[in-house]
Amino acid sequence: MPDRSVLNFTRLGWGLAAPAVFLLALGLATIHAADLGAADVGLLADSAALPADPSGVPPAGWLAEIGPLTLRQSLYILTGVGLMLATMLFSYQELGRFAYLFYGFVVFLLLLLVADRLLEGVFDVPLVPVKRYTRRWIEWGPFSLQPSEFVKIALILALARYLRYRDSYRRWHGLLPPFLLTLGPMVLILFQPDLGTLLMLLPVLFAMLFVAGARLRHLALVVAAGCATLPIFYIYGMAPYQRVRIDVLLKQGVADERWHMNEGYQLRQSKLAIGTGGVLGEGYGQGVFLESRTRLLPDDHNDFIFAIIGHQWGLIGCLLVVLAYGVMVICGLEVAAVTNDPFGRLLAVGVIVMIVVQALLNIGMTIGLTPITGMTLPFVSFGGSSLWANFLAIGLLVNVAQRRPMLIANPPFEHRDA
Amino acid sequence: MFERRVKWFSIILGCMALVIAVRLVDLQVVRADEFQAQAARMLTRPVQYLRAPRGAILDRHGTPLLRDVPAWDVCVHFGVIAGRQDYLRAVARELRARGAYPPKRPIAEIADELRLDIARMWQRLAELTGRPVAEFIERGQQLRSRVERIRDAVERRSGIVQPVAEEYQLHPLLEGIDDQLALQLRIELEQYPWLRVVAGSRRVATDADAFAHLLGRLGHVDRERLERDPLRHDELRQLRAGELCGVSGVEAAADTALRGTRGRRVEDFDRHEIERVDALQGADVRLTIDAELQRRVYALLADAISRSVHPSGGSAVVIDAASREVLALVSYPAFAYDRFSEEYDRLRRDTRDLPLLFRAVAGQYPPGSTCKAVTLVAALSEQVVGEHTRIHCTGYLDRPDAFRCWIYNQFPGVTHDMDGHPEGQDASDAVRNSCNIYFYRAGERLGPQRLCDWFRRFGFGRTAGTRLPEEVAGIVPDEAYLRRAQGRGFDRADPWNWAIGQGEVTITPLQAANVAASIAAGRWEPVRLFRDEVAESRPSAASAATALDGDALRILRAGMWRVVNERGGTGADGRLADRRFDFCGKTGSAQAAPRAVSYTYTLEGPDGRRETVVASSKDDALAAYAAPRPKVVGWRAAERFPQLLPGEKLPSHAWFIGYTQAAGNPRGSVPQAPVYAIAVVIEYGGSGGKVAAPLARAIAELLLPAN
Repeated sequence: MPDRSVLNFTRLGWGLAAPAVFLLALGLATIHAADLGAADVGLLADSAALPADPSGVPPAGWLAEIGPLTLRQSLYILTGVGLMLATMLFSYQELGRFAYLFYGFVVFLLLLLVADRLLEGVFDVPLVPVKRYTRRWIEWGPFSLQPSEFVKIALILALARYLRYRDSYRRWHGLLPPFLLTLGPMVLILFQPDLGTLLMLLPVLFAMLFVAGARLRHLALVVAAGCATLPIFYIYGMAPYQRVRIDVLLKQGVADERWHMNEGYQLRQSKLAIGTGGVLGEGYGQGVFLESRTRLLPDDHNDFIFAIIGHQWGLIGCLLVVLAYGVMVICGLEVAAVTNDPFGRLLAVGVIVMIVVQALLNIGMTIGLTPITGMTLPFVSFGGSSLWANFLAIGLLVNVAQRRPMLIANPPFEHRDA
Repeated sequence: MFERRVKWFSIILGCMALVIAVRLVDLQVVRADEFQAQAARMLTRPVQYLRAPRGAILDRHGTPLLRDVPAWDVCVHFGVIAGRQDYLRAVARELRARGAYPPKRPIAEIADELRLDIARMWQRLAELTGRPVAEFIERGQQLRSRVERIRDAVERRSGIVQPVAEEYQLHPLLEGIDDQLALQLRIELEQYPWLRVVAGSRRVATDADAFAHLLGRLGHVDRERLERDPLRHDELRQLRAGELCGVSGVEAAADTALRGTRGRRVEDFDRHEIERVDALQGADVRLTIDAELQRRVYALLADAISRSVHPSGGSAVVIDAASREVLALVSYPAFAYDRFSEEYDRLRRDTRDLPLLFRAVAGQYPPGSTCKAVTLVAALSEQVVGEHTRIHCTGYLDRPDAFRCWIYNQFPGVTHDMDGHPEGQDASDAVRNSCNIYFYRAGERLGPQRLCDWFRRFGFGRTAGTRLPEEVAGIVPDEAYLRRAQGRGFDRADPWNWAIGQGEVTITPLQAANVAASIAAGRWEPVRLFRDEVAESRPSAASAATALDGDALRILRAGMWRVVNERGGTGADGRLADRRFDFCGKTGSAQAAPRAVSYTYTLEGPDGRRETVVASSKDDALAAYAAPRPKVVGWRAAERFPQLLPGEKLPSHAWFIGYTQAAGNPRGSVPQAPVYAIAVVIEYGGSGGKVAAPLARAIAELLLPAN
């Protein structure tokens, strides 16, 4: 019987926690550097997640020295750790019983956002502010929450719950319920819109089905069908600004300075920050992107924090980040492998996929390999909701690692044909 | 199965990580230098050039005629001039970020308010400066189209669409305002982030009307000037679009020296200066002109012209014969130098007096009898006449009604033979009497080709060497010219006409003065307008000196002495009162056609209807018509100048050329200092001896030392 006390991490538990701590520290340091660098340029009033300072005067004294974002991120981390430990108090299996309930609650929050959009002008709902043309946040007093960050966890839990004792998904019709579970929130998120989260959910579904042993030809057919509709989606399904993001990706090499000064600006600046970092980087807090009073890279503290890491610590820093996620993935998959509880196994895979896909897409967008979407770098980027969701996820993973049941039966999902 | 799938899954993730790693190596190792260079380029703001004050123009004694004094320019950001939305939104965003507006206020709303601010700014600017708003808006449009031209040019040249630096800069909307106004504008309008009052300079002329043509003006750089600019490869000295450069007079002739070296400033993204080179003021340019003399000659000329029956224009030029330095280069009428731009339209339309014409170097007149000096040197040098060859004045050549001597013309039936030369006149007599018949014969013996050659030796048909852009060469009617202009070859009558300075041959007053200087000094050479060689950065148009035959000159000088100093000489009114000095010269009364002041244009409309319009130029005639404009199918002079009374004879241009010398040289040896060459012409002034000679004498008296 493994020790069930909260703080007794297993070897694998430490393997998951150590990279997370490394990434958190790296992120906090970078946020601090970016925070100080751009302190007097009005980042405060422009930042989406921050309550506005009515006087518009930059903060003074100790707050200015630490930097307001650094302080907030520290608080997010502390509460996040608390949240993680709280989830570890209970067995993930007990938590699993609330999987559908949690899923339902998150879908309800998403519906709130949609309702706000549909009811716009009917009543003045101050709950949902419009930021950058999207409705992603629910604000209540000083608190703000981004439900789409929690959709991922809810979906993983619900999918794991649904798939754990079945093999119906090895047949065509059996694939329908998991797909419906996934597509439901996706449609709601499309209303916000939040393309990044949208893109995340499908890999989670496919990965979980894949490791659960769904037939490859089924999955391949669905993927092929999906790919076939992509051009149609591009032409009819995407808003012009979303299409521009694809164009940005394709037009990186064009010699049109006006394009790079407008639509292509974010990516050009991001690549510039990374490219100027070189092998060793400019050093912590050094380099034009941090020393300039002008904010040369928008979103340098959240979505594009990887570019600043690359700028400060160069190729070494970037590869270390990639390596940290690698360690996380290996340990996470190891947890999945050694767990013979089907729910735990699927949960572990889902969480790992969520973290790694998010990391890949985020890094990819900063270096011009994937389209730019509003997506954070797990554990590194600034932002309460995403941190909490990630802590929750890693908490669940450690939870699974801690509570490996003894081997009393054949490992599940060991179907013979694959 | 699960294990295998997890393994596959890991491999897929590993491949993705590898792709990222490869891309990172590509960005941070392979292309690191490229990004470094790009960052260096992008993270510095476009180079700002600091305007260099222009050098002063000084007279020969160092008195400033035109100089830059500090003043203020009102500059406005291009975004406001062009009414660009993106600029306003950027300002709105920045102002909001800095707390000038509530943080929740939408950008569009703030931008709307800024638009009102801009309207208020124009209004206030107009009130403070006392100029109409429309003027600022028009200036703004000029700036805008200029920047757009620059952008188009850059796009054509580089092949890529890119914003140009000018789109992000402040542009001078109002230049050269004084301290008081600058202070008011600063207090009231510098609250707007797009307006700045910056230190500039203003070009100030002191009492410059007499120098109005000579000093010339600044104007905007055009394509042709950019391409011809000798300093176009020097970043800090080249002309740049949108800047001012000399376009006329000395401002243009000495532009490369005057313009100075602009400063250069580079800022990084945070407006920290990372490079600064201060501007160097342009060099002062010293002219050979004597300012005091120029003013007094101008006054004398103005006075003389105002007393003429048909006052119009004229010119007077003084050259130091030994050094060929131009001491005075006067043209009348001139204009108020400081009010040029306000009065430009009126000046341009004045086709009666042509006040914009720099007559001293650009006025082309038939030289009249002053040309006889050249003809005589030619005839003596070519030995078609000798010193003592006598030629009878028969009053006319072939028929009594053509090619008559002036004396026969004035006193019908009288010839120089009857007037005290029964054996005919020798060379000296002919000059003294300005006998046409003598010079008809001399010209006839020389023939047209040799006449033209000798004209050239005296500097006809080429610029005299001031380097002023206005300077014209005049006409030497050689065969090539006749073919081109008139489609004919030499005619029998040509040498008769040309020998007495009539017909096709024309010269400028400066060329005429240089003829006098050449006679006195024994050789032709180009004149000099600049004291320092440094100012003469343009290659010389005139070639080196041409020596003249000393014997021929001696005979000519003796004749010219007699013109002024003998009772009965044609220029006797030019005789100096001061007996220590002699004035020698040659009069001229050059017949010229009346000047067409306006024309009657026959216009044919698109519908084929014809109508006639009287206007001073073709453009003016068409100005009243909207497109499609009618075609000009014919024109003839409408109004002419001078307008003669019934029975009045058309007055000739009054000429006098001459030089001063120490007294006691009636035999024509090389004149002793002080030798100043003077040329005077008064358009339609009448007789050279009666009108021009006294004026030339008055000028000579200014030059000679008082007791």
